[in-house]
Amino acid sequence: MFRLDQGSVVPIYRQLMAQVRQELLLGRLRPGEQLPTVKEVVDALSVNPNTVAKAYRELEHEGLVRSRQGLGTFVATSPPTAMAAARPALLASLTRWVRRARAEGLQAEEMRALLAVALEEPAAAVDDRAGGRTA
Amino acid sequence: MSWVIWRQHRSQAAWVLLLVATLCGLMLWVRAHASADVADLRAAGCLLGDISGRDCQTPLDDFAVRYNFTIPAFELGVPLVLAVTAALVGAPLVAREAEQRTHLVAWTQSVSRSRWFAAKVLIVGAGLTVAGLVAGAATYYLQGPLSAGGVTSSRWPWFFSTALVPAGSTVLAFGLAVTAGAWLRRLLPAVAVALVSFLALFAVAGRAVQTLTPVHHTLPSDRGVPDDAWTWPSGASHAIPYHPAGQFWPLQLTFLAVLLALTAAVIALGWQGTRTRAV
Amino acid sequence: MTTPVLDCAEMGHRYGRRGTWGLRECTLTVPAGRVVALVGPNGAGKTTLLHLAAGLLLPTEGSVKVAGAAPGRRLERIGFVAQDSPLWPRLRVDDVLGIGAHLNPRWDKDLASERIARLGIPPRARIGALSGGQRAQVALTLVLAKRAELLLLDEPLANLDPLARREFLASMFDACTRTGAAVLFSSHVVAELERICDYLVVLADGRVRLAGDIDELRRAHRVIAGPAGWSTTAAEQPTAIPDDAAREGGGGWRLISTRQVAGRTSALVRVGAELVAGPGLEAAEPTFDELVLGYLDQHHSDKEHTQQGRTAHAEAPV
Repeated sequence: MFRLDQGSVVPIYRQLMAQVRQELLLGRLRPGEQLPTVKEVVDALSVNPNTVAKAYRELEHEGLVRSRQGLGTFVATSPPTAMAAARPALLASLTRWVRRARAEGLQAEEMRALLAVALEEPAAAVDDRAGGRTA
Repeated sequence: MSWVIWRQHRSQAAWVLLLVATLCGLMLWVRAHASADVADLRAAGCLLGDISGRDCQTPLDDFAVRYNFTIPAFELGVPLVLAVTAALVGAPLVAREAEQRTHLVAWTQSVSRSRWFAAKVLIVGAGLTVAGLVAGAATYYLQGPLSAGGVTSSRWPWFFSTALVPAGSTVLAFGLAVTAGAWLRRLLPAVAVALVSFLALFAVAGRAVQTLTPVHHTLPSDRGVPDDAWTWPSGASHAIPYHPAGQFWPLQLTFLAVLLALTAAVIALGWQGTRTRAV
Repeated sequence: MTTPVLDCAEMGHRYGRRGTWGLRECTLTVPAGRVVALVGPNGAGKTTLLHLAAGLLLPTEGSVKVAGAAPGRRLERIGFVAQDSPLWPRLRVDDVLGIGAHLNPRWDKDLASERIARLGIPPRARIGALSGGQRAQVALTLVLAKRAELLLLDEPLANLDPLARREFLASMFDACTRTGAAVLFSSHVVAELERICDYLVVLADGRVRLAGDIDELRRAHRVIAGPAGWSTTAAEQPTAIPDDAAREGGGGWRLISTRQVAGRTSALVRVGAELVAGPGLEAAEPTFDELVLGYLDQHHSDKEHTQQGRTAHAEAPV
């Protein structure tokens, strides 16, 4: 499940956290399910166990997972509901946008670059105009 | 630590054992023949005090010619062979560990560098001491009939190759090699330095023992030198210095003590080299 | 406060009475259970530092303590593997493990034999007949079965093929999680270090240039990219907020080094507080490699600057 982007600006523990969050949002990790153990992640990725432990600790602070002494780390029993199911309208408008971008000849990388710019825009903070930007 | 030393020096010990066994075997074989020949001489009455009346010159000369080889072979050979062996065993003790960089492993187990050095020197040194004692016993045993047959009674060097002295000389050569290895940290130079310094030290110590111990003098016309006395050529024909046989063991012990003291000093120097020289 | 597993205070070592200083004024504290990367070019002092920590050298000045005492008295808690993992070539693998068993008080015999078996190393093989990777694994077995609290590894991954490297790292990490051991390993190769270590020490020319937790260090630095020469043109103008402000932590920033990439100048800076890049400049957290290389570059350009008699000033772009 985990893959690392070496040499990225994002620290490794944050990459791991982001990937766990993504799995949760996409519903691939269910409430109560056990995450891979630290040892499994370390063996698979040759990554420092402290880093994995840090990622899991931060996720626990965010309330997404719970660690049970001696048993492992488990998805919290009341996580945010799967994003894809709970935000159908946003997902639909996003899919329309992607279709438009493809029609104009944009590749996936270019779409991601546009999204990065949009995320950085100060005006993209909570604002009624924000909804209009992504349409 | 003793298991470790045994494991590391197992094959060395086997070689030394083989060498000493071979030397002793040879000496025993020669001694057997010499004993037989001496018995013949004794039967012919050539060994008793006054032999001028009999035709003993030829058999005595024959005996001397037949057993002259024992002087370079055993009288000089045994202590030298032991010294070279001791140098080859002692030099790699520190030097080869340093050359192979395994000292970085040996000195980072839970044993301190001093304990490692002390154990190695004491255990391996003890082994070599035993080898020296065995060889010394064999030469002492060999020298009996040879002296009786007139080959060796007037030669000092036998003193340095029998009884206790070989143990001391072997361990001195060992100490010099360990120390040279500890300072030079290279195997072959250490062996060379050890052998050269051994020869020098041994000669000096031997000379000291010869000149500093009280001797008895005698005039040949007055009293003959006793049969089992230890003499040496002094050039003068009117006063032959000699040590009576009774002085043999005290002299041996004194010389051994000198050698052991020298060895201890040398090894202390070697310990300094192990401790202070950077890895 | 728990005793750090390694504590160096102004530690320095000189080879001989008039020789070169291998290491100077090294102050470093490693908390227990961390994996510390010691990075620097060849001759930077990495091996000297490791040898001092292992008790193989005595510091000429300053002090070094492992778990509160001199390394010579903590030998059973230190596991040292020298560069190229030297072992006695004519001994067999089980002899070497036997040496470990006889010389170390807390020896885990089962761990040692089980590990050798799992790695497929024949116990009766002579060390001289093993490959570099196998020999490194035997050396690592020696320190793992010893149950050391502090593993000191000198360039352990050099000369290992990728598979051997992965196995070595897996064993190393396993020791960290099971026993809480700290690891201090040196490397002159920066690639792939990011995922292995969580604490970084950059050494150059015998001195510590940078030391700290990796995530904290990244947060405390920025890479600022701008038009070519932006940092130097700022430097030529005397500034209202000179270097001292950055040192006092009152905002501002300290220039570490610059790079020219495709007509743009990219500067690594250390920041005292939150930084907002001025117009035409972009600021971002440095990647691991940018951080390390930036400090190694600093050492380089420091040398050049002193040779040219220039010093760098910095202007706060806020």
